[in-house]
Amino acid sequence: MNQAPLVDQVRTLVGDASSSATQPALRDRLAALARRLDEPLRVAIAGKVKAGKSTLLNALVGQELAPTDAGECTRIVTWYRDGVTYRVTMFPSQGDPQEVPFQHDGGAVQVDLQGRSAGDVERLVVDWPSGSLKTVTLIDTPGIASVSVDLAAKARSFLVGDEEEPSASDAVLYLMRHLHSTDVSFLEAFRDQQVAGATPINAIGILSRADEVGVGKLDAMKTADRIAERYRSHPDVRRLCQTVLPVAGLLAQAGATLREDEFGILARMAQAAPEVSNPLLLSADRFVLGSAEIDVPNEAREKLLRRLGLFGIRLSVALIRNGTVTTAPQLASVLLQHSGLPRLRAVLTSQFAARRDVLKARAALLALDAIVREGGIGDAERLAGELERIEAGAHEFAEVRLLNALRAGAVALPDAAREEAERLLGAQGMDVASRAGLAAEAPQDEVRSSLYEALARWQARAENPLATGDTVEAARVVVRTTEGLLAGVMATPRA
Amino acid sequence: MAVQPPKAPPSPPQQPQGPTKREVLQLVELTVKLAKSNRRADLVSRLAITLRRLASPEIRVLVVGEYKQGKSSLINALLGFQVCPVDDDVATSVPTTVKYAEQAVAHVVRAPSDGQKEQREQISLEQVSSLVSEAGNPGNAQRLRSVEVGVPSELLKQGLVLVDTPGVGGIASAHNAATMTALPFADAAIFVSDASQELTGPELDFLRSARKLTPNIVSVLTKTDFYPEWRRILDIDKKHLQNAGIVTGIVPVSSTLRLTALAAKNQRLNEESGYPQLVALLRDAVIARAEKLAFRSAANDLLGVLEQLDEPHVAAVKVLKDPEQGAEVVAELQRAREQAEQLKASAARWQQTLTDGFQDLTADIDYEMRMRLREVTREADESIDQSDPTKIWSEWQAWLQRRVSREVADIYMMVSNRTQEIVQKVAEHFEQAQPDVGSVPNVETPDQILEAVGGPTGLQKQKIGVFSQGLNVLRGAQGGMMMAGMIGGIAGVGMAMVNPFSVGLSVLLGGKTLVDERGRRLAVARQQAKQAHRKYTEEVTLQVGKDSRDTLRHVQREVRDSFTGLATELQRSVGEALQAAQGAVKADQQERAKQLQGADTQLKAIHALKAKATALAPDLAQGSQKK
Repeated sequence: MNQAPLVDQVRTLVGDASSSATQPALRDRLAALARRLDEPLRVAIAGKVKAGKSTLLNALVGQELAPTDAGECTRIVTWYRDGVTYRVTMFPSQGDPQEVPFQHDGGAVQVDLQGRSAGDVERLVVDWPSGSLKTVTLIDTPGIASVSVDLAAKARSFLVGDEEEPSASDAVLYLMRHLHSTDVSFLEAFRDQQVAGATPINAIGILSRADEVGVGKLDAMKTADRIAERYRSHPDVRRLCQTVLPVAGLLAQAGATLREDEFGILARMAQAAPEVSNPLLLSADRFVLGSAEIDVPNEAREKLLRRLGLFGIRLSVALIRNGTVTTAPQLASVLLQHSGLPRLRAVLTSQFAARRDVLKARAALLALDAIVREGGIGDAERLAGELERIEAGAHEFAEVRLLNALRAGAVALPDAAREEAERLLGAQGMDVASRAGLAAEAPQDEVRSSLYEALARWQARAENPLATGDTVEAARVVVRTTEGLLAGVMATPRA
Repeated sequence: MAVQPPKAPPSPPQQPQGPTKREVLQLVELTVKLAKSNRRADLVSRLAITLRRLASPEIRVLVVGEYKQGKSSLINALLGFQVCPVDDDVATSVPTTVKYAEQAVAHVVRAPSDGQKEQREQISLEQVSSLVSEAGNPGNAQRLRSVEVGVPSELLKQGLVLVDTPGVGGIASAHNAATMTALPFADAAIFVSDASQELTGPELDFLRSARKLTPNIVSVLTKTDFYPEWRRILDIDKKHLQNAGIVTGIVPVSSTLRLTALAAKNQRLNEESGYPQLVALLRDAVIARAEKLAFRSAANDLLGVLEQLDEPHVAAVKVLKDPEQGAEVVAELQRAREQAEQLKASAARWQQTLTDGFQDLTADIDYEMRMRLREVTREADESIDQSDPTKIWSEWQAWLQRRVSREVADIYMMVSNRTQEIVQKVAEHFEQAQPDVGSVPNVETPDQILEAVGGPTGLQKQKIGVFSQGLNVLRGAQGGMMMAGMIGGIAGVGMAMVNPFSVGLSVLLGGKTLVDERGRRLAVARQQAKQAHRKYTEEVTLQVGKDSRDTLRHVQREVRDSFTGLATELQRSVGEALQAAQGAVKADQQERAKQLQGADTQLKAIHALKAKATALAPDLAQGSQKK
């Protein structure tokens, strides 16, 4: 079974369609589709108003790009992608895209909309040369339960896609502060598409603003972990996203960009007598008000508070006071660890990036399907047949489908077996060792024998005469996946 | 940015004017004495109810808001007691009622298991947190309906009852509808939203509907210690409220600072927490207002009783002063007695109004409910046909329950409103048919009496008395509905209704098998889903139908008994007046002077009390003139 990689098959198909398209407009759309196959993964950051979307985006990029504010802030869908030069392009709802001037002096990017109101702009595209954006294009969206109904609808239509245009993002980080019913219905809408059926695998739930969970208590992140764990195991949530991770965006942003002078203030607070510093840490107002004993200008204090939050400040002072950290870089690294961002990054790499081609191919097929249905392409019938062949034939899609079905609880398997199947399909990470359920540095022999055992188990399950059709089908997919993994392990020479 | 600690309230001492509760109680007791000396045991027992209501008032305040906004912390900080469990994860899962008690005490109320009665069980205050929280009682496995806590807090001493409600949002169940239906029965609500972000669309929606259900909403912005930008959020929220046409101030508070301040006895920190302001607002806007209403209702009762005590003496005085008119007065009173007798008869017009009104209402409610639930069924079928029920089942269940709850809440609102209308109408008819003793012509009353009265007298007052009596009956009836044990998981909130969520749990369990058999074809699943929701709506229709019929029957009986009681009292008063008049006619010159003096003394006492009672609620007199 020597087939070309899935992406290439799709790319060929898009090329075929393009050459038999009758109108130039259609050809343009198909060309865009082909380009998209080569672009970095598009990850949309979505969630309710003030869930901390922009803060998380800044933390992921490692720079302050998206404006953050206490009031409702992001009003336009904004793309941040890697580019050769710094440039902002505005796409108005009507009329041609145009380049617009912007400002960026230390703070967020301030875009001049050329007199247009936010409502008249469909989206902004920010080209920004940045290492973090090389592998992923980030998309900031307005909040979903927005007071302004227009804004909310905008976010929705972007994330869910219009009737004919499928969603423009490959994957979604869905930020939630606490799970509300509106969140769940929103995720439902996101996966309401047909090609691969329901797709909890392209969404990750983020318990955002995790530092605020305890309203300033130092064990906030532990509590956040506990809450995330509860969400993860909730069947409704399982069905909608791969996993739920707690992230404290503010800490992550601070960790990525902490400065010496900021550390200096924190250190002075930590060294002051507790009678002096503790009252200052009691409330945000008191911290800004300051005290005569610790001589720091008001603006500096205010800025620090805005950057770290009261939790970040309390945590930092505690860390310095008990000697855990002594320098700014140490503090930055501990804050970053605390923020949960490294874990999110790891999941993004191990799951989204590793499955990126499949996700992209899937998104492209979805788009192509819509175009073919629309008509205006020469041999639509052959293309539709071809589309179906790829869709049905690609084992990757079968894996994706099964993974989705497993997460949805649609296949009746014992919990342990279900977990194993999910793991083999790559739910814990796409590398062979994780899929075999072993540590990354596990010796190859061990990986191989573990996979053999798994294969035997799943073969038995596939041949069990008492098993239902669903289970047999699922077991067959897992068997094939495991065989493929084994073949891969055999092919690599022993270390 | 200039930082100022929240301003301290214009500090007490307040309440220089207005009667105190002790004065009102004294007034009632004096009237009781007077009724006793006139040997009117019927009036004494009526006043006993008034006394009881005054002595232990209940001012119900619901604490409402989304998840995790700090509702439980607010109650703890307000009272200075660890009453409600506070958890960084989801805490409150059961409504908790907090009222005054000399010593800290707590009870849980368990939902009845099959065929048994509701169970009430005493627990320690420490146990509350483990029972009320989601962690200690996952999915309410303990089948708790409510928790009642009593603490010796000064703030609660005047009858304030705080009700901590589960968050308005929620992962699978919507407490929203439940909270909504509890609102009309509350005296006020505290709406809690934290300073982490401005008010959201759903929150504003909630406020918009809540405002229609309870007149008194106090809005609170919590966690001001933690969010540096709270002042901006406060301004934005104020604007949102203004744009939405919701008139309520917002009090910014910090529960953390308050608790720290109370522990350290730090006055300045306490003021910084914003709580003194909130306490002042609760005292002025909620407690004082409720007290005013309670005094008003007491004044009504007093005036009604005094009017009846008055009549025999007035009749006697008339005759004694002018024996010539004796026969005329006696004839007038005889006519009045006949009227009073007719009032008691079942053919009386008010009785007809009552019977017809409740019959119509029962039929209307039945029809309305069927219509509404039929529409829900139609919508449900439609949504099932458009989707795969196995995939959306749990959300769909939640939707159905929410949808049905909303309709049921509307039905109960309708029951409540229409019942009040009927009672009002009955009161009007009763009033029109009352014996008109006040119109005895050309009789002079002693000057000193006129002076003492100092306000409009006459039976007209009785009207308000009757009306308020009717409303009190209604309030009592709502209590009755509560006792009927037909309430769902929210009895503690004071809601008198079937809770569709509690129905759902038993009936929609069928949903579980549905989920287990996903392998079946879509059509079968749809069929099952349709059957399941039909069964559910049918069950709800049945239960709500029974509950509302029982309720209406109960209210009707209460109203009838209450008005019949009133008619009996009136009959007796008129009878005594007749006797007094007849006695006066028979008396000789010397006897007359003696009787006149006796009646005069009584009248003076009565009218002095009347003047005081009128002063309690000056607007009552105006109200009666308007009619």
